[in-house]
Amino acid sequence: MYDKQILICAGTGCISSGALDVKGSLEKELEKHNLQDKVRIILSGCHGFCEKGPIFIVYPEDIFYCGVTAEDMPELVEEYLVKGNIVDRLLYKDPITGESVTSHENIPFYRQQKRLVLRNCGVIDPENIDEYIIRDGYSGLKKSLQMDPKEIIDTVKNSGLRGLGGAGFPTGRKWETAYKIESDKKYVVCNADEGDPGAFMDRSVLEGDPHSVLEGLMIAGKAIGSDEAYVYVRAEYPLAVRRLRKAIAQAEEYGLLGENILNSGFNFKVNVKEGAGAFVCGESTALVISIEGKRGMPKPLPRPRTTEAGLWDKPTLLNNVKTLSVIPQIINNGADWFAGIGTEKCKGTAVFALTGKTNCSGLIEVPMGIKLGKIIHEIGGGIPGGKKFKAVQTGGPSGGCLPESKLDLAVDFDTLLQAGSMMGSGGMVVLDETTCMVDVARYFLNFTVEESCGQCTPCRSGTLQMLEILNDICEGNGREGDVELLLELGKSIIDSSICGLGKSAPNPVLSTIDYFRDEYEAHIKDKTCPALVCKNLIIYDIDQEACTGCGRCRKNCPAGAIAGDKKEPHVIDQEKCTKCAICYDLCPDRFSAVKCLTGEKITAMAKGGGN
Amino acid sequence: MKGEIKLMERFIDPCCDKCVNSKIKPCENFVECRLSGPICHENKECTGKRQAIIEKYNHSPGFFQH
Repeated sequence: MYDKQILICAGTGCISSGALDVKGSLEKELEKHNLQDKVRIILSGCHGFCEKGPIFIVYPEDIFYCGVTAEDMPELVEEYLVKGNIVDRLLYKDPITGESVTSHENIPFYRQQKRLVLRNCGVIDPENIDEYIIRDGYSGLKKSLQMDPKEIIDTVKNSGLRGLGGAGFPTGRKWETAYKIESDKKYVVCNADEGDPGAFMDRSVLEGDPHSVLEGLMIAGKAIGSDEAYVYVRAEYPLAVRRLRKAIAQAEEYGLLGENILNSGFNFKVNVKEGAGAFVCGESTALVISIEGKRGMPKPLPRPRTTEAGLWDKPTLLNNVKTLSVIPQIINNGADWFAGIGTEKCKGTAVFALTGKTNCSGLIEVPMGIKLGKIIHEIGGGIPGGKKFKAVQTGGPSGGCLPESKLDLAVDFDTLLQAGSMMGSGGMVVLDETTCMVDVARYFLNFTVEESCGQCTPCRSGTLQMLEILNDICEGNGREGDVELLLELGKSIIDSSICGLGKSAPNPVLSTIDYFRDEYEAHIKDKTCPALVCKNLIIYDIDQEACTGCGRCRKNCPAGAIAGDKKEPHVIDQEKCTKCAICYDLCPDRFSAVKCLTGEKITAMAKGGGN
Repeated sequence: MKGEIKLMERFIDPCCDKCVNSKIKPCENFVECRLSGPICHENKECTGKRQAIIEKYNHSPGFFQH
């Protein structure tokens, strides 16, 4: 038996931060101190707190070290594992109090979470099926094999589970439809085509708990009468693909996948199909076509539902990674257990990739109905640098931006939709006062323009027209009536696009107009960017009274646009200035001589009024 | 050789020659057996082998509280 077990996060984020080097260095140090047989190293899936990676937790005492490097290992082993002294400098520091926190359970980022989908992520070695079995793995499958299909479907229906891929359609109802259709062949498909910028929930589940997805697929297969599944996963997720394939091989070896599973007569096969990374392939009909080996494009309306005629025209049940991952727990613990979490209409939990301007970012799982403000200010630790919160963008490029007045919103599928945004697959980007909302809308629309399959005119040309208008506005060429035109175009695209991608593409623009129309007006009418972001609408200038001529800006200006003698006020040549903001960032706080100006202040400066 | 199975390093390994689980004839109680078995026979040594695997991976007090 081991004295200590050390869990090193080996999700993609922590691996890119050097987690495997940490492991290599730790092994050497353990050997040096003859501790290799007393300490077990576990490479786990994503622990969630990606910003602080690599994460390194020592059990059984739960000492949470973060941001560790290979170079820290000699000290950590010597001081903590040999002498028992906690290495304070590697502990998590509360961003507000600055105090060290030893146990991860006491870190606000984790304390407020409710982990169902992510319950094994960062807890077990995802490449070890035994650890999954110990944590009740495949018990749900065993139970389901003794249940009538209708009983399984009723359990899922009564749990209130709604699809966690974003649309929130009741999972049990979808299963029931697929079950009722008679066919000689049916398929179950796991949608792991996670394409939202900044979203990595599905990837983390596949990397950190692949067996839960396999088990969910098999239960779904048993429920609808299917013997074959596909996992459609992005080829850009090599670690997830590798661990998924390994999990399939292990489950087959254990007789938990394949022929006559647990002597029940139930056969099930899981195939992995790697997608080429097109955002549109997350749409159900495009995904199915892509699995068939054709170019992934949504089928035009009218069309049968995928549950009726999907893969090779056979009834196909399509569920997201997270939805499937939570199924075994619902079967194990019962519908009432799951229905007891969340709100009246939205049960269970939601998983978000919390990013942007927060002190703490990463992967989080919260009960449905939690207040938006609680996620941002308590789990996320608030806005860094004393800046003000401005908006939160949820639902990825198809979602919307919500302002401060919506922070009291109870987060679930319906409330977010009513507020003009959406849950989507779970992207949550926090924006502060230095963010230009027109520029944000432009960024997300640019993504959907790039990712449009081009099949229908409203999406192909309409979003491009909207983008060109936004470009004009950001470049100072906006015209009266542009906002109205954007609204009209947005409505037309929503009404006439053939798939969900087109129908939701205008959302970032419409929601920012809805809540931040004054910023659009400022860009168009006053040629001002209130957040000081849009380059054509700002200039940098040096306050002659505040400048002491320290020369930092002049020495570091890449365009050679700053001139001035030592200890004399400097000036910026506006003709040469590229607005890179290096001078603004480097000017010492005690002087703050470099100013960023927009609108009337630029006019005043041009007239010689200075700043 | 029959009767000389000593180690059970993974759950797939049989605890002794009384374990009948195989690809051809899978045991329907495989999952429960590995967690709290053996089920088809009584043997403290066989129970201990399963518990040893469980204990090896039980890294924290919260590991089973799920």
